[in-house]
Amino acid sequence: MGFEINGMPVLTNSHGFVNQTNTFRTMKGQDILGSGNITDTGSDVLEYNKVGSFTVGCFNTSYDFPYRVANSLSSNFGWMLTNNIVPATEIKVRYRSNYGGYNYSFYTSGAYDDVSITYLSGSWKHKSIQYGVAGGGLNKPALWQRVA
Amino acid sequence: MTRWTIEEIRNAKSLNDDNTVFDLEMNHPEFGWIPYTLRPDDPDGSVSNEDLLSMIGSNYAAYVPPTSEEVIARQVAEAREERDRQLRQNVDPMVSNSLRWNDLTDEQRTMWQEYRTGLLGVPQQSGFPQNINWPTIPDGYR
Repeated sequence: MGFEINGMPVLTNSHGFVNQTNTFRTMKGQDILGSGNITDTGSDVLEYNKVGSFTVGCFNTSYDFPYRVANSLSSNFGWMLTNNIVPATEIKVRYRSNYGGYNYSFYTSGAYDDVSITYLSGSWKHKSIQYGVAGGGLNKPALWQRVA
Repeated sequence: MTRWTIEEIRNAKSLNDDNTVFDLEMNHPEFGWIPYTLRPDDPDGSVSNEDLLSMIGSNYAAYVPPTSEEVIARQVAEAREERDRQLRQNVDPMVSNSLRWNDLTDEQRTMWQEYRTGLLGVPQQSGFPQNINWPTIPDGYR
């Protein structure tokens, strides 16, 4: 059985895609044309800490600034830009496990006994909006995605 | 799953005594030069850590454990962050909101005042920053 869209064959009786100009377009209007098999090159993101997975965490240290953009107003302050990529060691991920039956991300230490630390690997991209980080001051939780 | 072949690395730095964990930069086919943390228990296989380790070889900066002063400085900073967080997230919304504050009994106000005073006094505790006796938030608010 074939398949048509607006009278244009898309799938043939032999179950193959028809290579038609203007048949398939991306959301930005680019044609999708080609030949051969369609293969899945995505990552298995069902497992935490694999490429493609997300986490919530803060900057690991208040002292190093190599992955922040300095602010001219203060040497003790920097900007963490969206899409900036940092090594996993720069992200501090802590979880509390005894709060209403839920695990949730927690970004500081010392106050409670039920805080556990997660050690990540690889390269992580900052997906939150740009925010300021003060040396020795407040670290804000942000969304990160592993990209390598 | 995509597998990337990495052909260049630089600035490898050992992060432990066993030289099994490294921070490094690699020339990624999609992103160019990016920082990367190599751990032996990495569940992801899109980059071969074995290949990276052989590229690192003996060409890495040796692990330098933090000095006791650095450890203490970090503990102080983290403890102050936590103290500030509790003041900002727990105390401020209560004491700066007159409607909420007026709804409290005298006993509850005293508990909040003691909690706030305890937080402000955390850096003055004798065990600070290693052994901190954190004040308890009043019942029903944690």
